[in-house]
Amino acid sequence: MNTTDAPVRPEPAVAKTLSAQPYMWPYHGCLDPARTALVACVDRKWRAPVPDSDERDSRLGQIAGAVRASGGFVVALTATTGPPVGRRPALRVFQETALPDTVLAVLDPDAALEAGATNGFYSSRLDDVLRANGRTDIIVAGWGLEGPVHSTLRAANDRGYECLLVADASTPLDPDLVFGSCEMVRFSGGIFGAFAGTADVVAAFGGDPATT
Amino acid sequence: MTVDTVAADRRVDAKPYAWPYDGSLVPERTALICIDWQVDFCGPGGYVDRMGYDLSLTRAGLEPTARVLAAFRSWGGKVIHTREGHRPDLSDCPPNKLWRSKQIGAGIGDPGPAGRILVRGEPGWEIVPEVAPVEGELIVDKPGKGAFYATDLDLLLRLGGVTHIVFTGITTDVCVHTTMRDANDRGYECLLLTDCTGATDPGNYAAALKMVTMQGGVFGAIAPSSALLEVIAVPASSVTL
Repeated sequence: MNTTDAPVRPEPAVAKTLSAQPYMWPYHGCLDPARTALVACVDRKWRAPVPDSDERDSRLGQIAGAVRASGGFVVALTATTGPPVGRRPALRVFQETALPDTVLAVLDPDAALEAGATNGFYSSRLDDVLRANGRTDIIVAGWGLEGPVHSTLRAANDRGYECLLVADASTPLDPDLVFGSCEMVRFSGGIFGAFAGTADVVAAFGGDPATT
Repeated sequence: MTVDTVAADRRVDAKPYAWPYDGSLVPERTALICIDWQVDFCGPGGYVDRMGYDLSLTRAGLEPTARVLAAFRSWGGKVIHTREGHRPDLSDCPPNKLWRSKQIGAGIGDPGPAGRILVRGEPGWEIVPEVAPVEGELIVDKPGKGAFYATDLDLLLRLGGVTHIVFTGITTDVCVHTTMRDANDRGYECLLLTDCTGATDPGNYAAALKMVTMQGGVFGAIAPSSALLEVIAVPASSVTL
């Protein structure tokens, strides 16, 4: 994870860091779209029907737009269906709506990848795709805050990626676990990285924070 | 297992379902994985102590884990211990992990009362005596939080014929959760013992347990160690091998 040779970016103006907890992200102090990727977890099984899920989807789209407009990379991540055959009953599959296609259209991903399980690095090309495209700093958000989002964040962190969780652009299965999902990142000086709100992310990448 | 095996239906009174799902709890296919019971996480002068967290929270599970270890060894299940730590030159430590640890005053590799923090071979890296490995038990050294990444754990489990895993260890929301998630992803049937684990924060401990039980047991199940002991203490006379 080389911290040097960060190119000077043209418009939109990108900040050096973005406001996050427990530290200004990324840790190396050189936010650079050319080395940043949004990993959007968009597996339908995990899109729980919480009351504000539409707003959360909208924020995910805003981050994708800001990241892409500044030169960043967007990955849409899904997973193969269900647990292994013969195991306990499969997860309840949340009702499919027209939303997924809409969301994917908004994301307009540079790569659409399928993982073998909840952790997006398991049985997928995610690590290869991120490396091949020079992406060292990863923003993780999407459906299943406590599921694919957290599992993928944890796996990315172990692999040395500098990670940012955006909880308000993620859909929880249980709204009571949003706080804990962020606290788990914050403890021990940012044990899995940092977390931030969508408005701060969009603003840092030169987007208009007023739209969030 | 062979087709003519007649195994009693054995399940632990767990949440959100009686574990394991298949009622097939036998020592030949079950591992007890004890995560990171190291001085660095629950001993004086180690990494967690240096960060200023309350050691009683991460030490709370030691006594129940020692009881489970004794029962599990008698039962005949496979015991595996993990340790988090880095090479002395820190060449396997991601620079952001190093930076964060220094920011909070517990720099990886820095000298302390228990030796260099989170470095292999140092006193702080050792497993505490209460739950120390005995001769013949496997130990997996890992550079990260998850015990499957950059280790031979999956190979050891496969070659050992393990399909079911019982977890103890610290900390609940970090290394235990990451490893349990990844074990579940690989198809292992997982149980976390609630009194044999602890976190640096009670809220994170509670949230981590609740996450396991979402959606009918998205990552497996949870139970107090007493519920497991009730089952594995029963003589396995009904199992024909």
